[in-house]
Amino acid sequence: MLAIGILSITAVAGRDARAQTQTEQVLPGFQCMSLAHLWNGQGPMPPVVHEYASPAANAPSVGIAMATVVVDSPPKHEDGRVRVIRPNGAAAWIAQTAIVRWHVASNPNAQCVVVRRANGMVVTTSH
Amino acid sequence: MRVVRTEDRTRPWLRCNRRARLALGAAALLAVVAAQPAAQAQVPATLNGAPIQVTPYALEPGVPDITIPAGTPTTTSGDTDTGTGTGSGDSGGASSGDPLNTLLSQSWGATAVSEAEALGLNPSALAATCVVESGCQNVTGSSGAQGAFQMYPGAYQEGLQTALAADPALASQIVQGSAGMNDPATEAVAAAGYLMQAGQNLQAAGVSSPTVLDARGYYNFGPSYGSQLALADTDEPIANVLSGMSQSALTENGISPGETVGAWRAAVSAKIGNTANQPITA
Repeated sequence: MLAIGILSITAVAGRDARAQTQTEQVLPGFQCMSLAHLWNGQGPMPPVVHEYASPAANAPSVGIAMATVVVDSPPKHEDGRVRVIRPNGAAAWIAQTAIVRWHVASNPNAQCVVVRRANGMVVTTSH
Repeated sequence: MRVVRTEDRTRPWLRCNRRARLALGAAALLAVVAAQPAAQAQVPATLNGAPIQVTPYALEPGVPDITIPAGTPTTTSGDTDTGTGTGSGDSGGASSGDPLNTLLSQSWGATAVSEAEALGLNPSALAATCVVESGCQNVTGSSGAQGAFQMYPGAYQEGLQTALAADPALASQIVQGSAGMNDPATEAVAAAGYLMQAGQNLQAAGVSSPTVLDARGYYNFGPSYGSQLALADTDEPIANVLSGMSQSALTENGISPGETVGAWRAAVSAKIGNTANQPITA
C-alpha cells in the first residue's frame, strides 16, 4: 500500500444519494493514462492487458488493467514496465507500450483526475 | 419482615404478587387483540409495483444505486441494444419483468438455468444477459455476434473454456465446434463462463460484491471498460469511461450524447428490473 498525501477534500454536490455521501480526495503525484488499445465499440475486442506484481519478466499477473490506469506523475519505469496503482492502493506493473496519454475519443476536452474515496479505493474520475 | 429485592425497588410497578401480574398481563393481551380490526388481519396484501426499496445506511463501494419507481410495473419492448463486448445485440426485447421467467419460457431455458447453477452463477444473471441481448431469441447479429447471447467467436470460446474448466461435466451437454454458437443451451454455457470471468475480474478490480448490473457492463463493454464502469461515479459521463469509442460508436451502442453512468445504470435496470441488484454468484 502507498502512503498518499491528501491535496484536498471534495464534497461532491448534486449527485445521487450514494455519490453525495462519498468523499473523494484528489491525490497529488498521480495521473490518468489510457490503455493504448481500447475497444472502439465495433467488432471483437483487443486482448486484455495484464498488470503484474513486479517489473520482472516472470512476475505473476495480479489483474487486468482498466481502460484508464493510475500512473505516477512522472511515470516510474523499470525494465520496460511502468508502475501503476490498483484500486486497492497496491502497486502493480504494466508494459510501458500498453499505455498512452489519457484521452477520450468522443471528447477531446475531457479531463481526468486520480482520487481516493472515503473507503480508501484509488480510482479515476473525469468530466 | 418483607424482603424487597433491589429489582423491585427500582421498578416499583413490579411490586405485586405473581398471580396478580399474570392476570394483569392476560388482560392487557386481550385488550391489544381486541383492539385490532378482525377484517384487517384477513386481507391479503397485494403487491402493486416493485417491493419497497430498502435504503442502506452503510453504502457498499462498487454497488450502483438503483431507484425503483413505485406503481405498476411497465413493460417496454423492442429496445435496440446494438453492440456488446461479447457481441452486438440486435433487438433486446427487454422488459422490467423477471428475466428468469423470460429465460425459462424458452425451450432451452431450464437447461440453461441448471448449467448456470452448476457453475455457481446466479441464473438471473444469465437470464438478464439474454433478455437484454436478444430477448432470449436465437438471432444472428449484423456485426458477427450470434445467438441468444450475442457472442463473438473469441468471447464464446473464452467463456466456454472457463465454464468447462470449472465444470468438465458440462462438456457432455454442449454442441461441439462453431455450431455451438447457434445452439442456445450451448451458448448459455459460454455466456455463463464469461459472466464467471466477469465476477472474478470485477472482484480483482475492487468491486467486492459484483451485481448483475456490474456484470452487464462487463459483458456489454468488455473487461477493460467493465470494471471501470462498475467503479465509476454516477455523474461521470459514460463516454469518458468508454474512452476509446467515437461518438458514432457510442450512438450505435445505445449511448446518448451527455449520458451519465447513472443514466446508463438506470436504463439497464429498467430492462432487467430488480435483478440488477442481485449478486452474480448463486
